[in-house]
Amino acid sequence: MLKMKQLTQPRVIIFILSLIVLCTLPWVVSSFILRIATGIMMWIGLALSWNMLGGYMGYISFGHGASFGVGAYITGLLMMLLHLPFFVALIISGVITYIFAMIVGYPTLRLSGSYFAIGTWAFAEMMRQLVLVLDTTGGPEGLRLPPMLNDNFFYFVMFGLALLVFLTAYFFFENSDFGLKVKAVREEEVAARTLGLNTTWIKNQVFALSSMFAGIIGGAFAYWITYIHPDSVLGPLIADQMVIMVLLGGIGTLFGPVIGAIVLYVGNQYMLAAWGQSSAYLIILGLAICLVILFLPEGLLSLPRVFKSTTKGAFARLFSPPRKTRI
Amino acid sequence: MTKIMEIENLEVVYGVIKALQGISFYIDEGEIVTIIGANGAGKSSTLRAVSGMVRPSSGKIRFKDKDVTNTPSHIIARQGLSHVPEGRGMLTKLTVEENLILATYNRKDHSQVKEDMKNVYDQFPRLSERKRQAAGNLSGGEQQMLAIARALMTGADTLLLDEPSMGLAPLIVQEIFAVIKRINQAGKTILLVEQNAMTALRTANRAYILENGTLLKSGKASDLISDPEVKAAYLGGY
Repeated sequence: MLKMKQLTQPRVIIFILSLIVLCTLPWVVSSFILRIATGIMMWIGLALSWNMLGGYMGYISFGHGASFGVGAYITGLLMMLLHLPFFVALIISGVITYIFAMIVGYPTLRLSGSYFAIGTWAFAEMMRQLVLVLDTTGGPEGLRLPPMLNDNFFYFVMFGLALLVFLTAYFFFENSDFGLKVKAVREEEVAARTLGLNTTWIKNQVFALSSMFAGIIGGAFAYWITYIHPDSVLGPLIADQMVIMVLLGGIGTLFGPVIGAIVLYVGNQYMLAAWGQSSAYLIILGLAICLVILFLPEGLLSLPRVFKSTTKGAFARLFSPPRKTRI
Repeated sequence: MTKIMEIENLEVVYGVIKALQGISFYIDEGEIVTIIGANGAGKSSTLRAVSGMVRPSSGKIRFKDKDVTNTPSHIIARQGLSHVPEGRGMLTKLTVEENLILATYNRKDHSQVKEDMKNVYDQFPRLSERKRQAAGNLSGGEQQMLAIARALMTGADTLLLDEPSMGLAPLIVQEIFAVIKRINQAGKTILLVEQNAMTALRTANRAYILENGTLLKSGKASDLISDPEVKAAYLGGY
């Protein structure tokens, strides 16, 4: 019913140009920068996948890291135990995280608001503990994958995945009947049901789809890093960062998660380079989030709009009491 | 006239609280039936049970000769029963048009949808003017109109209206009830739940009076208006 928004010519040109630039990146920049670019691509994909669930559907999950970790471990195990090639393992782990999320979603999606956030968080913690005690996963020792030292390969894998998630968000969530139904669930679930929408099915699908993307990206991450560990792929910080990136950039938008991921990841890497491994990053992160939620509830993406309104308006907005946000 | 809906011994329990203690009623096709009663009498629980939002602990609900007692709410909605929830259930960040479009996704009669959309915009010109505005920016009365329009767009022939007068100015309430009468004359069956007893009784054909989860009285709305007991308890100083 909803007509596809007419793509204006300049937008398409900019999109294609940036794709070309991004494709030539490996031959232009140093391998250090390329690794950072790979990391950015990974986090763009993760933030966008979280945004499908948290942004378009309004279900704030703190357990999305579990899908990432499960995907990473499944890919690792398939490659090490069954000696499957990487891409086959990646696809299988995507399918498994999808099914897995369907099973997890069945009970957790009956919760809403903060209960859903707590439920998913508890579930992710359960997964971490499980992987810690299991023998097959290597327990606290972690899991080693066959090494593959080709920076260009991983850059293109992550780039491809980020692009896939981006296009899915664009076509299935921004401009489709399905996207409108998902937003209806976010706005008022009871009303959506009275309109004949099968909200249970919609919720399960979105949860499983966004988990699947996180799982596939987790699998690619495992192969890239070659060594995974319960804390590195199933720690709470993975999910937390996805949430924060989306909030920082602009929740429920297409470009918000992209901007949030870039800003946060680059900031993180810069601080790592400047101060080494320290908790200062977390403190600054916390502070940044407080500021964004208080003064810029719609994220960095709304910054131009805030500035465009008169200076007086911007000041009024800055010092007016915070507006209600969705978290 | 044929019975479009029949409810037998409906019981709804929330934890230890019995919201409905076995009520029975029916609706004929083309009628406006109202259920009136005080706060906590079980009016909204009745509607929620009928539309499948809560599962009744016992009792039977028949709609168009089919048992729909434990049918999920979205399936009931697709069979032509539309529940306009209390508080209007606006999808506030979506536009008026999107709100209406969402209601049509389950319909198969696509040619009829276009015509219905045109009719709805003709009936509610203010919605037509505000097509592209967010539903949350509409006034209370306009939101109630949108909620009713949306229920019509689902293609339903039976509407359950939960307190359409809630939080609206008296003049707007009159307007809403005029709309309800009009869509009833166009052939829709309506079950109306109201605290505004006087207006509801004036609009409806028949009425049921609910108190603490049981039916106290039932009858023609015009008879109940002049019933001294009803007058004293529900109609106040009118």
